[in-house]
Amino acid sequence: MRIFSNRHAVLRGWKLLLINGLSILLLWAGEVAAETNNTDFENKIRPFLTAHCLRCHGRQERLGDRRFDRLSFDFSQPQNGELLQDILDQLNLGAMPPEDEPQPSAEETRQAVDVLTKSLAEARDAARSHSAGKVVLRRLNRTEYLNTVRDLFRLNMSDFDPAVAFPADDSVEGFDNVGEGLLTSDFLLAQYLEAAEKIVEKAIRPGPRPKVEHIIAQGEAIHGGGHYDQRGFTRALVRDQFTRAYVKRKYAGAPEDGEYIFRIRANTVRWRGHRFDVSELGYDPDEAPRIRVLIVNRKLGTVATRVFGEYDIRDGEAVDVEVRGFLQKGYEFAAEWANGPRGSQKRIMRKVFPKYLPEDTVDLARNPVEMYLGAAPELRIHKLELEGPHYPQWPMPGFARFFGDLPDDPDDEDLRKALTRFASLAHRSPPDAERLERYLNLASARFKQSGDFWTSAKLAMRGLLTSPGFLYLVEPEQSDSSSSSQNLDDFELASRLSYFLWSSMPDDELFDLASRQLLGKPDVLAKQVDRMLGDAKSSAFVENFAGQWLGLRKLGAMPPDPENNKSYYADNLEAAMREETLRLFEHLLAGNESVLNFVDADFTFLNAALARHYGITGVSGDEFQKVVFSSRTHRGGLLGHGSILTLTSNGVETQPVARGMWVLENLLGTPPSPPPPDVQPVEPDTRGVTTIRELMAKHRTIETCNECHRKIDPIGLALENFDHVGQFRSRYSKGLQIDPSGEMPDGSRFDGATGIRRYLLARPEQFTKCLTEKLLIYALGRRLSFTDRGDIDQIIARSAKLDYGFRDLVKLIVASRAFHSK
Amino acid sequence: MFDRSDRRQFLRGAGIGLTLPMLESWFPLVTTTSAADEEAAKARRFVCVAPDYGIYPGGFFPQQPGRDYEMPAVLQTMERHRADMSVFSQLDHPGVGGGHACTRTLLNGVMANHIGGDRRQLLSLDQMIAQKIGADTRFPSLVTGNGAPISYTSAGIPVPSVPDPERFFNLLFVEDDPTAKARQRQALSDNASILDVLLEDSRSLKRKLATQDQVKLDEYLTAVRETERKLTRRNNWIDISKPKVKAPKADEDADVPAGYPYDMSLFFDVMILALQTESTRVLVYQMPGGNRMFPFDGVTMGYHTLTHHGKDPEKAQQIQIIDSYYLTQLAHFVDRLKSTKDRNGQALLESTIVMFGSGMGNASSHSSRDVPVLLAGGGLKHGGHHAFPKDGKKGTPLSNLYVTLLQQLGIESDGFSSSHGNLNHLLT
Repeated sequence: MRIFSNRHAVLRGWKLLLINGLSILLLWAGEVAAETNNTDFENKIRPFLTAHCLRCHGRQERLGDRRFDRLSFDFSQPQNGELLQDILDQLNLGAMPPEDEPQPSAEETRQAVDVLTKSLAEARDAARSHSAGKVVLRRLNRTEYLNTVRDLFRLNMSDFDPAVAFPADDSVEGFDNVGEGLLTSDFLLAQYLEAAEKIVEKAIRPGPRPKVEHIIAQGEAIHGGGHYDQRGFTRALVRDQFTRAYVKRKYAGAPEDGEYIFRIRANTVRWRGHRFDVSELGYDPDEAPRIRVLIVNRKLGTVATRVFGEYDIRDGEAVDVEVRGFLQKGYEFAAEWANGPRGSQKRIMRKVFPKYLPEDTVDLARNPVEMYLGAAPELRIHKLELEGPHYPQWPMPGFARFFGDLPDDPDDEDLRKALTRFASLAHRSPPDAERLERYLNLASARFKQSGDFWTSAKLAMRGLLTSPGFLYLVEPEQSDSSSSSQNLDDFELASRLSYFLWSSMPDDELFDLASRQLLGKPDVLAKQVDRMLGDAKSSAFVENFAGQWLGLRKLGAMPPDPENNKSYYADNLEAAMREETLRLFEHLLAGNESVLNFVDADFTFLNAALARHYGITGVSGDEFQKVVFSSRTHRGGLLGHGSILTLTSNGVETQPVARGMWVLENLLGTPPSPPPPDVQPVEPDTRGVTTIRELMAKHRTIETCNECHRKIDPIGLALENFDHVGQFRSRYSKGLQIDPSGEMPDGSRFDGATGIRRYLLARPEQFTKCLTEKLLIYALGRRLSFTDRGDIDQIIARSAKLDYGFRDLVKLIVASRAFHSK
Repeated sequence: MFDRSDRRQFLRGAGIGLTLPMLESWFPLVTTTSAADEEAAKARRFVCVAPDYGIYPGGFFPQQPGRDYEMPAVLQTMERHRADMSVFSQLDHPGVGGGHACTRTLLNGVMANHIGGDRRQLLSLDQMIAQKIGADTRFPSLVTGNGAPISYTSAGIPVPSVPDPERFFNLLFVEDDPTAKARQRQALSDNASILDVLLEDSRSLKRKLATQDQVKLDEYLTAVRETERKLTRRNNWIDISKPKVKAPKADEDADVPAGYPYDMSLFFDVMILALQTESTRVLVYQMPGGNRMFPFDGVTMGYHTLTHHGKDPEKAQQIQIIDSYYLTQLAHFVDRLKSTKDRNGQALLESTIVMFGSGMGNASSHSSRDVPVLLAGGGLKHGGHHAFPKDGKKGTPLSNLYVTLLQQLGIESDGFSSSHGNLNHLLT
């Protein structure tokens, strides 16, 4: 397994600039080189490097793809800054030179650290005003695009995905919102054009409020699977994935987007008191019988089917269930039996009936299904009603926002006025008159030619939704570029903040603060962070940041094999595991609790199924609840989460290397560097080994492998007590005892997950640094550079004073200088 | 060991019904390629079939060089095509490192993180070919399958793949109704006016941006121009009917489950139809990795797990069952290319270069050295196993072979990616 480290990624980023931005670098070189002090380097750093580093990181060896023989304090060579920062970090950590090499004296190290620290700080200040650590023009990724469309038009986006055919966004540094990785191709642009057309068709709905229709279906009019009972009045269903009840045959779905009311009158019969053994029918009569309501599109089929909710009904007397929900045009509600006898009636008649009846009387080909009905539990649906569309507000708010005050016979001026209003929101800043004019002219020309107000308006809106001002977070250079640092203006700041915490555009309050130039004030900004994290839209931060930082999105990419992991699927453990981790994240954020709870916590969030999986008793129900561990446990913190342990396995067995890498990358923030590009890995020969520990030890006998694997493997092996789906074990399946002991690169010994936790808790600033860096990359949408180190160090220092509260940390990010810079 | 997959694949083939009326009517297009070009080209089509995780080296590379090599285990079902194919040992892309990412370098020979930001270096062989010989067909090229993307445009953007055989078929052969066509025409004309505005707008915006942002916006500008060009092309094709063919279907009676990996043969079926109807001349089929269990006798572990065989004989044995299934599918595809005629009444294979290969060599160590490559058809000189011994680190770049392929397709070229020559002396 090879994963590129942050530092190498940074170096690659520089190569990019070297090619594309040569002129920037030349400019930079001129100004910065003058400030460097190479005497210090020659007198103090070079002798140190020569004595302690060059043997392995010189012209010949280049371990870790690093060579220091060409280093100097000439910071116009960007790799110098990155490498020197790296050396400084290693010295500070005491990780280099390796323990089995001669060590520099304390005084030598102190001097080298001092000189490096000072020179790097100076270089950072000098470089900050130039190209290092600048945000590259960022395109909205797929998620941000959808959320922005939702908020711009106040659209209900359930079952509506105009981005369905967008190519996947690339990740850089583990995040899919880094500008450099967000490519724009003609494939994508063609999709943007198509999506824009669909969106304006949905959002721009002039004319009177659509009439409410009321469909009542009874008896034969109820359509779907299942059968009439003998008296022919009701539709009786058994539980079967294809047996659903719809309001009528060939109903084309909702005629308009809008809210609809769906009523079901239903009951069950023989929920208990039949002659069969319930375990053979596969249902639980101790539960109340339940109806499941779905939203479906019969034309699109199974891809367009989702569960809306489940509702208790009764055995015997029929009751009414009423739901109200939003249907996109063409979609409809359907009802099915959520918890009736499992499987098809075919199965029951084939496998179960013969046990209760003389064999020759049951013949599926001859016996009608009525044999089943009348003997076993049935769901009876007596009546279905669909009523709608209803609108809490008409015209719909996303339409009224731009076209609410139109006269009866709107003219060209009205057209341009409405479109200007639209453009300022779509571009998230006051419109640039010159550029806007083109879009207005597009609409005007069409209006003049066709006389059709709405087609003309829609045409320009489609253009604006495909324009760079909408698709990119544009931060133009300030015209008075005499000021060395380029600070965000208030509107740009509003967007940076809202895409950080909401993955979407700013709302009215943020726009209002921006237009009054108040948003930049520290207290206003901190208050806004609290408000925004309290808003439901902040779930985007939880899902997108946590999902990518921790790799949760990869959960399910290598699923366990269904044969040997039945409960994983039956109990929907994958979703439960993901939920546990997201709940922890949400909880720490909401309560401003210490981020060190990610490392170790005396509580977690479980439902009954996941608790059972973990062997924890006393948790019941499907709902997630906070569970405080009563005694010593293997489970505290992320390292005990099933999600993390499963996503670092391949579905069949654990992968200690993947786990070691996960911890180094995501908790310690010290991913090892990849092998130099032209060194090919030696093919492992694993014949004759019995345990994974032996196998990996064999691998490490090769020196080029050992260089990094001595850091990776011990951590991964320490987690071997958790199997490929995160269950605890003390032996392998073949009975071999698991040995979870290990040693960190700095020589400290530890034992199992608990040992790793202790190691991390003893170094709170290291985990906080890792998390801070991840948050900054995500917040800025760019790679970090050595110029960011001042900000990072300051954030960590302040966070320590605030007991590492998670919300405080987010506020420190938002308050940092990097967050306010272009 | 291969009985079961053999039988399955046979049954699969037997179930496919193809009726292809009036072949001539599909070639009404005015071709812009001059007669001389056609003459120069000995091959007119290019197909690349690429498994994500390579092929187990011990089962793929013959032991002996030359014509009389013993057919390796995984290639057994290709024996019948021996005279029409060539196997290559010890070719690879110099400078490409290991790791899963090497899979994606098969057709361009360069890692996406080694290009120093110049994405144009990512242009892949198939797209280069499509630029030259794809202009006259409805689709200049098509990429299908669920594997890692290996096809890159001249702007260095991965070409999206059509992920399933049904959509692949519909795209090629299902006609849009007249109202849909009218709508398409309206949308194309609307979009053309929108694109004009976008172009002007982004030019004004560009002047206001910092240098690094300008570079990024250029990407957008290129996309706008390219979209304009493609819209014009699409407009020209709206009124030309798609060819009418019968959809390939799995034999309902055969004891073959639906879905992956069995739908592999459906991909191949649609590819044959696409080539036969001249809907496209350039095809890439990306076969997926992942850790799924292949439902074959003798396979008890996930695919990805098996590729990391670590020389374990049990795993090596199992991975070869899966690899053999791939090659059996390929052998059948070549059968069909032989039995299907093009508009000149010639077997499709005669003028179709089929390349089977992977950017990954030995998957056990994620190596990009010595990748598996096999060629068939295309009027090349076949029958041999070509081994290219290495002098230390220095070997023969796979791109040398690509130069020969380009020339065979009538594309003038004396270099591609890291090539420093060609293999004309062996293949032409």
